[in-house]
Amino acid sequence: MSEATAKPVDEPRTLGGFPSPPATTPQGEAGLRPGGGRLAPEPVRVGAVGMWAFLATDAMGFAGLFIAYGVLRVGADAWPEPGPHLALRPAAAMTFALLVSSLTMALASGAPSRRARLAWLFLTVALGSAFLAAAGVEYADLAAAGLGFSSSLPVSMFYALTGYHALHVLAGIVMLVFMLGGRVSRRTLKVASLYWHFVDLAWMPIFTFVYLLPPS
Amino acid sequence: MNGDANPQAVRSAPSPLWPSPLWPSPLLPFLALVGLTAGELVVATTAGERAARIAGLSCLLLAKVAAVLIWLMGARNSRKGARLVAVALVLAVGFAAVLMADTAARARHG
Repeated sequence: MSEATAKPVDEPRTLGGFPSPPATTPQGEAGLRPGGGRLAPEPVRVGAVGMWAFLATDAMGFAGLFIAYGVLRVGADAWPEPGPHLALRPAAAMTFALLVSSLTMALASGAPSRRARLAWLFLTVALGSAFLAAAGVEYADLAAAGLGFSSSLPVSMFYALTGYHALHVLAGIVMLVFMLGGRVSRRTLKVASLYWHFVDLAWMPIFTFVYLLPPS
Repeated sequence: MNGDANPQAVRSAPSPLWPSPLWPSPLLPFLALVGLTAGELVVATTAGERAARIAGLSCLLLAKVAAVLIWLMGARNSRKGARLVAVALVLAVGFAAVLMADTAARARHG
């Protein structure tokens, strides 16, 4: 029999020229449990680690702004009191809104039914939107007082810090609105909730540094 | 028994909603965060020595960050992710401390 007519040998299936990986899971070889049963792959772990990696890089962005804020504030001869234009009560209300939204997001990711999940998600979106609206009112007050982005160093830092955070809140709201519209698994929601809790986390030092620290 | 196991035995790993039975619902960390924030407001509005107030606010901030990381984001369960964020934050805080000390020293000595 010539080579041309030889029966093709069964080749192992490949993926893009590379051999397919064995079906393994984080728990053990070939997806086996110690007791013998097989485990399905865990997409949530991959998604969660990816989200954590993204959040770590994003934390660096916030850290850069906080470092700039700290260095400028320590080096300044005097740092103005936030009082007249950045009132504490609205800022505390914004903080409370974000804290409640973290709670509703956690409840959404653990909700037993789709209906409950959508209700908690909707509340989260509403609270995030309220936070953005309050930030908008704050910006409008500052602008009305003639304090623009380039008015002074403290005001510029305020706009940079809070604006960067507000963009994150906006991105989170867009993500959640997409989730409201489609069918989303609980695991996907859990990964998404990591981002939302991080947005809450990032606001905490902003609240402390900008609104609470006593002026020098 | 190996890969030919009964398909009914194929199932997902258990995925607990909350990392610890000590915290059965997100309500408890939420209440803790609200309490810590109220503490911050009290420290910020109370007259006192500036350094003590800054120290108090820093401690409360760290407690809040830890509460969110551990109880809400489940950092104890995703150790890889928590390590990534921890390394990023420690590097950033260390860098900030060095820069601020340098700035303060320059400001003092002209």
